Amino acid sequence: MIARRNWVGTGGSMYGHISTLAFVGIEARAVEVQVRITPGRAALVIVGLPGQGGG
Amino acid sequence: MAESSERVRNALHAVGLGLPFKHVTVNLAPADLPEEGSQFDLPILLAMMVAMGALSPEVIAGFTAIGELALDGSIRAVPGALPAAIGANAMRKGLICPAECGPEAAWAGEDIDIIAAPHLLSLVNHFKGQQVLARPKPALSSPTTLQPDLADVRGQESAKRALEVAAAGGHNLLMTGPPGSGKSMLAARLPSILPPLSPEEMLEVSMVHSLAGELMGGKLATQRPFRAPHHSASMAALVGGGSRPRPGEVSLAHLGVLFLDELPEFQPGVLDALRQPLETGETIIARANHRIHYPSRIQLIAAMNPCRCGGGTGSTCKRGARCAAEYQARISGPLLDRIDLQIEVPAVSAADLLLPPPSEGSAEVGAWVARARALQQARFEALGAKGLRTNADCTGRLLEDIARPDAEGAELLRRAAESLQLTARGFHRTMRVARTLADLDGSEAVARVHIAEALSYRGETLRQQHAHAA
Repeated sequence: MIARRNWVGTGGSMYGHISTLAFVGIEARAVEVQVRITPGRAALVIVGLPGQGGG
Repeated sequence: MAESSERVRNALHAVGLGLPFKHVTVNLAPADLPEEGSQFDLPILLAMMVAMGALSPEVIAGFTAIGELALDGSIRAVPGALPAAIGANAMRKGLICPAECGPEAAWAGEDIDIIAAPHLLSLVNHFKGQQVLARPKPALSSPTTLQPDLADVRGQESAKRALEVAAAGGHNLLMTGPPGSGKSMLAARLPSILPPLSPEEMLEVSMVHSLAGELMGGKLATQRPFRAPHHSASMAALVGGGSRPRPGEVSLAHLGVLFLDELPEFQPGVLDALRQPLETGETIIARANHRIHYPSRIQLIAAMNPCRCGGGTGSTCKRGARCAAEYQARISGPLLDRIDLQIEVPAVSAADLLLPPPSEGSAEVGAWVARARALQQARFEALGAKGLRTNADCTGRLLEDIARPDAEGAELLRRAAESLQLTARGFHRTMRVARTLADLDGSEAVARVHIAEALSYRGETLRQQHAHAA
């Protein structure tokens, strides 16, 4: 199991990213997943995907 | 994609991590790519773990990741692992993928680093160095799967000959005949006489099948595909597309055979959509803001009854010749124009079934086909015609250069053009087929006998009935 961190008081923002792939026909194109954790209302929001909001 | 965030949230929980009580924003960039599908679950989670400080950014820096997450933290297979691994290799990155996709991804190359994990915990343990996951091994699909053999077909010698010609020149073929005459049986035996896939072709075919999630156990396809969709198939099923783009039957038949039984029963729109892949060797699906290309270089084998009642030819059908004419007119002229070989397959008599089995099976016919194809390859290479594989790909100027008949042949062709009122397309079809017939004979010259046989594959009865119906 992974040690659980205590998030209280860390402040600031935390960032992580990794590369992934999207398919256009039989071709795989690079896509980057970026995650930022900021203080504020607790929520998980995914942007940049079609079919939600702006589409 | 609200489901994705739910899966990620639950998978995190399953490995003992909770979402921080903060605002988490996940962005997929660039935003204009078709980011559809569940393969983003795993990379979203990994990036989140980095942001949370649960994973060091260095360990995943050299990797690209795909995978769907289950609520218990296991990593589920996603389609497209093979093209993904090839893409990762081009980016000089390793690939993190579901365990099931490992053998498929391993085909992309020896030097690409692949981590194929069955569960998030095993992936994390691998990063910690506690339980190292072995690199997956590529697997070939066993070529022992029994293919039907041409020797099983009794009688039908002229149809078998047409099948041989179709295989040798890559020509499309339409068989018209009453039910039970063995049309489907013949079509199913075409792959057994086609040359085997080259290593590059295997990869090409497997890429398409990988995207459709049809690569069984991650084994590369070794046999030419044979796809036989039912005539009720929708446009999305046959050509591809739908809400989540995936290759259709036409693309799954890439470098193999697409068999359409009961051709006139297909929806007219679906049949018309076949014209593009037949012409260009690829399917293009237009979406709201981009176009998707799938390779679709197919050999079309179609079969149909002479009329709707299924009965014999016009004379034996109770409703008369009109029934057949109306039925056959359902196939559009432009589609028929792309079918080089059009033959009639008569009913099999009981006497045919009593004949001894034919001496030539798929192995013998396959050897003749391979020889004829080698001749074509050598000729195209000598002419510097790149990208051409068979005579069926030849058009216009090149065709006239390579299929110029000798004096006697030219005379027959001229007379036939007049008396049979050959159209320009009909003329070119005859020349293409004649070139293949000469190749099967091992003859460089296209002689009178080749022209004469080619003329017999024009399906003139079909044309005449078209004219009558019009």
